[in-house]
Amino acid sequence: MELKGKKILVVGLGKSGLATAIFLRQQGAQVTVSDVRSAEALAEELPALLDAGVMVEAGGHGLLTFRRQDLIVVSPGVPLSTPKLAQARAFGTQVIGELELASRFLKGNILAITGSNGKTTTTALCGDIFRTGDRSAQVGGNIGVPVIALIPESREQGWSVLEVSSFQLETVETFHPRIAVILNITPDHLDRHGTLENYIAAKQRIFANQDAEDFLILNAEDPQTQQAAAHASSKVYWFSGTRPVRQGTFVYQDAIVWRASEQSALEPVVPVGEIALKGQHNVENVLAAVCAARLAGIPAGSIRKAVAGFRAVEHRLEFVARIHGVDFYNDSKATNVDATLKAIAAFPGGIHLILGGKDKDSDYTLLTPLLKERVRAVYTIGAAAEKIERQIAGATQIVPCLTLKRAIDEAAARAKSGEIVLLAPACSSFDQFVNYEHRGRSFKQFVLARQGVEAWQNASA
Amino acid sequence: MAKRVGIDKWLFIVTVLLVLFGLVMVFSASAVMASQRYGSPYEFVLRQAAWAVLGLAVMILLMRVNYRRFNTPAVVFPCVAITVLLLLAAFFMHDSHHTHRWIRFGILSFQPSEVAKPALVLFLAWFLQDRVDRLGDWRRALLPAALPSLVFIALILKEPDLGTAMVCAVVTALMLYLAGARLRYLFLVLLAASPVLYYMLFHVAWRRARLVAFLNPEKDPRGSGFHILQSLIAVGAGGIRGVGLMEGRQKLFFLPEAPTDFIFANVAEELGLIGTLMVVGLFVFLAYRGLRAALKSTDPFARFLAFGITATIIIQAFFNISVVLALVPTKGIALPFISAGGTSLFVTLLSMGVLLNITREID
Repeated sequence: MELKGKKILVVGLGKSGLATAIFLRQQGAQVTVSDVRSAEALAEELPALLDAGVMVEAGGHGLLTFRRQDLIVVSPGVPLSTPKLAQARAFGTQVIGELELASRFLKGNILAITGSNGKTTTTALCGDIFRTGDRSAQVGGNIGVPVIALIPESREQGWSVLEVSSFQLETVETFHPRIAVILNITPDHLDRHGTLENYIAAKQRIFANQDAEDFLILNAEDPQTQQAAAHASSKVYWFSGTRPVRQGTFVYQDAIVWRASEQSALEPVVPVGEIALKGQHNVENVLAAVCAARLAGIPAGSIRKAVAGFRAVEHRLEFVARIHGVDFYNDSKATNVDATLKAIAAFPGGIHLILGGKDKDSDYTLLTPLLKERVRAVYTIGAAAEKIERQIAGATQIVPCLTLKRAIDEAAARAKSGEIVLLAPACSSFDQFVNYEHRGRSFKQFVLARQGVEAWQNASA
Repeated sequence: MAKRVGIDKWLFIVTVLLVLFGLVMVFSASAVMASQRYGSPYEFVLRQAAWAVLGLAVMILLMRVNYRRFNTPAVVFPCVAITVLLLLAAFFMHDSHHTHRWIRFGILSFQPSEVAKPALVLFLAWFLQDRVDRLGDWRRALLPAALPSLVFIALILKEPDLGTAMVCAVVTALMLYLAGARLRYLFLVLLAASPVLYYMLFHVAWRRARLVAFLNPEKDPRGSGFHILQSLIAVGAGGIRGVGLMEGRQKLFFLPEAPTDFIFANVAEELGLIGTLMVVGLFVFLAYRGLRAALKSTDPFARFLAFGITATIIIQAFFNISVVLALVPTKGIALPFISAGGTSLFVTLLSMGVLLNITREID
């Protein structure tokens, strides 16, 4: 793909948009970036872009910005249905996503992972396993580094392990992963995809360009992914936490076993007891990762070592427990409003949010739109409680609790099955705790005490 | 996990013992009849020996073929299809005893219903391996699992061969139960099948006669009760130590089918309680080793396969011995390994070859 001298518009200036604009500029394209946010909000990114020679349009899209472009690259956060984009497409301008653009320049093999839940864990775990197995592997996509930033370091023999969202998949055309994984499909992001069918269709684009040489890994327990198998032209492998599969990975006699085909012997890879991640959903993530790793030819010994050593990143959207269908997440690391916004955005809705601590002169009004959209109730704790209550008044139900323990009790009492209790307090911890780690551990202790899990100490030790 | 520990020597020895014992008993039971009918006392036993040699050769061959090679639709479906074709073909053959149980090519003849049993076990093992505890979904799991069994059973009933059909039904039920099918469903099937069973038992004259004879054999000792009475006389005559090998009287045209379905009566007469307990002991030991293989195997396909093969043999032995002892009404079921009958022996040894291969991976 020749970019030199092309006129290219990058829509949306997130982490991915920024990396894309700079990459395109380096390739010699004539780049414009457009974002609806104001120049003040973009203050951090602007200097780097202007230095690189990228034109920036802030505070909205101009009338003619979308016209006379050779190519439009959209960031994952931007819906394709935006009138301007729809219009540009109608005029015949090619509109692609950052993932599509990057994948055209990535060297080596791609392992792409999507699904409604567990993407990040599985992707990070795959990265660990591949590196333990002496494969050169880099991890990116929805997780941390934008895919486009992986290009310089990619190698012909190496692997790019990518977490891809349904939004990113909406704008792929030639994206061709050697191994594609769909972990699960549950109704999610319907606000943007409209119907469940559209959402499923978007997920299925992950394997649209695969051929008979490629591999598709699907969840044998998920009816939606089961149906996907019929549309694939690649070799389908399955993973299941409850029963044997004909080819793929499953839990059998307390171990994760790999079965290359119906006619192959079972190969035990990791005893379930050795998995450091907790929870059944994580067993499924490990199953998917082991399947991908075996298909990439990584020996069982390396996989076992990596899986046994892989722990959830503590205090960062860390899953704690599921009690009566309510999932408890610890994001004690969210010590500012921005981090809390991200934590809320990680869940589609039904959130019971614990906010508060020592105020850092923050503007909690920024939370209001997301609170209205996704949060059932806010439980306030600590010194900042009163200020928070005042600033977000009216956005959602507010329950003053003072202490973390009381907040957990109140939230657990109100949350219904399928909902989420999230500690993402947007404040520092110094009023009631030593530090955020202390706060996070206290949260976990209270939650696990509710569950009656005495073994938690082994888990965190 | 695919470590080769070596085949189960005990299982192999029991199999060979049963086959050799069977040859001796077939000779004993058939010598007089064969010399009368064919002019040579060895006619029957030589034919049986030829099948035994062929069967043992195939068994030893299959012992060396990894059973996983059969775990593919490319093997399973042709097996099922060929069985159906053979069962259908039997209807176009000349009948024997007013039944269509045989296919003949010149001097070669065999019973397709014998082939149906291992084909059924293979299909069920293949189908059920990843559907354990999924059989609540009757449209996508239970019905497709039971379909080949139902087709086989229907065709075998039509032959008619009620005994083999029942063996197929019981093996299917056991394997489905093992895969987690609710007992309730299996009872429902039994309930649905009961009118057919009733019809077959009471509206087919000779079966009703057998049933009546079973309930009261003395009523017609020279007619319908003859078979059962002669069998019981043989068992009783044997006492504890038996009248001695080759010395039996009942096989001398008193006991019909002495070398085949009623060979156990001949064993009882000539070798007494000791001989019969030995035979039962060998079958019990075979059951133990076979079920042990099923339990200890780490392969989901192998577990079902080993269980199905063992169950097929043991259920037949159980039915056969019960018929001889007049515990159930007379039905034509061979005693595996021992009864004269080439197809039955060959197919049983073939299954044993697969079972022995499974034991290779078990300590």
